[in-house]
Amino acid sequence: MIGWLLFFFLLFLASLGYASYKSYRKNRSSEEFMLAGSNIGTILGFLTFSAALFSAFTFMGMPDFFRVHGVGAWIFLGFSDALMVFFILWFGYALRKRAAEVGYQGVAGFVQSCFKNKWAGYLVFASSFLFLIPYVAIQIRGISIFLNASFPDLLPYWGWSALLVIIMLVYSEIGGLKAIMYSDAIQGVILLVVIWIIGVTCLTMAGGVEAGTQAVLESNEALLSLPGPKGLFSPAFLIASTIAIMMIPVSQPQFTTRLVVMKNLKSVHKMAYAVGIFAILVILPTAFIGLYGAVKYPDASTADFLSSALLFDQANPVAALAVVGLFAACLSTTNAQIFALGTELRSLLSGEDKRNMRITKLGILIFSLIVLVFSSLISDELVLLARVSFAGTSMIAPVVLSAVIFKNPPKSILILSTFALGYFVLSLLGWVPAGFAGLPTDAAMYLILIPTSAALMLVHHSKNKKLHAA
Amino acid sequence: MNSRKWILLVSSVVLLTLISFLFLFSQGKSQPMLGSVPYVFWVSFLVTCLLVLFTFLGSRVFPHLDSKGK
Repeated sequence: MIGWLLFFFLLFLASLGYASYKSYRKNRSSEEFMLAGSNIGTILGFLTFSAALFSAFTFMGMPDFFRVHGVGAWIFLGFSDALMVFFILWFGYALRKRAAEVGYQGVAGFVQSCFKNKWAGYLVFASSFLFLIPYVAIQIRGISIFLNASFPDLLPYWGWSALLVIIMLVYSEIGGLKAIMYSDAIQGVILLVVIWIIGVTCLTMAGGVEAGTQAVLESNEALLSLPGPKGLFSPAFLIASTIAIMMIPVSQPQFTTRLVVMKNLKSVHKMAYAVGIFAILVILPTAFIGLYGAVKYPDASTADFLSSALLFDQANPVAALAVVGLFAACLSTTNAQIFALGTELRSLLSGEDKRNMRITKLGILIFSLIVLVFSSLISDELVLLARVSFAGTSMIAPVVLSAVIFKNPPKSILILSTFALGYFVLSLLGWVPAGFAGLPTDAAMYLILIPTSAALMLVHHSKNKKLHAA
Repeated sequence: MNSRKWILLVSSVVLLTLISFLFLFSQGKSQPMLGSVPYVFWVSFLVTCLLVLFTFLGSRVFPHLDSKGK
């Protein structure tokens, strides 16, 4: 097993090294370094978007989600992702149109320019910082716990975390966003191949779909319907999740930036449906692994189930490939997010290019260190923590959307989103009630945020119309 | 012409989403099974595939051009 692991790991590292080497340019501008020259084609664009989207939480969290909460997990991620890719058709167009008018260096700077208000930029940056840091930390923690449980004598828990962060820092420092995108492409392919090998193996071990479903029907029938045995997949939870996931390209800067740096709109549109197909292909085998878990490990802990299903029940080469696949999945998401934080920081800076680059690189290093520390403090609920991150950042979606839609966006949207973000954070801290009217916080906030944002935008639109008519 | 097709497509997606949440994704329902696949899984899988197909069609009929013009 260790021999196979070293073989695949060295192969993976060599491909990352090659990607960094190919992306390296001496004396490159910060535009080249941070935005990959804004010339990304369909295939690279689709692979980098997919790899950033499907991370360790898909690889580890989704099988466990299917195992514990049942078939509704497909609606939670598959259905929501499909709506998201359809939304990208319009959003990609509108964003690129506005970015061509006011310029784009990052979402925070973009929003600042559109609103002509520095606080708008700070709000976007604060939201990204508050919710991306825990999300990155979840990934690192997830993979480190898994690797530590699987290979207790190889490296300590923090050693795996540090190794991941160091690799990420080295190749992003050498090649910038382009290197990250190339490595994402490699990691996306690895993820898809590995998850299918494991998925098919698990389905075979469960006795096929028919025998597996029959076994679940006898042991825990609630897994086969909504809301699942623990009642998680209520309509409110599913609708709120769908909104949060649909808003990912709007409110998570690593995805917004990927839409802007694509070569043209046609590439964005091709990328959108390709990501949709990729989503179906990646999530489906996680259901097979979940089914196997529900049959064979119904009462095991998450760590025990994952280490058994992904490693110990697999043949040695497959298990080694799974470790590298998990590492790759985790790396592609964490580097996209940390680098996005750097991009956001840079977009708020003004002055000389070289100085901005220095500050940005220092910022990326500091963000990585914060993530490393944070990863040792948070809990193991991978999927639910990821969902909190999606929901948290979606609170500023009205700000980004109105920046994209209006030439002079209404300032009232800034106040509304600040309130929503503030309340969401305070409810997580337990300082204000979490949710109201029987709804969880995010669903309740959407109930206020969506109609109020729509009303403010409509009023603003009709006011502007009257002004133009006058 | 493309604009009309695009509006039709957006309306279909909105309608499909509403139908899914209001009627298709029913609580406590595991029948009818498709083969041995439970109701919620096959119906949500089918809706997902339809949405991705709509995305593909949308990419063909989207009425606006990239302002970058590259």
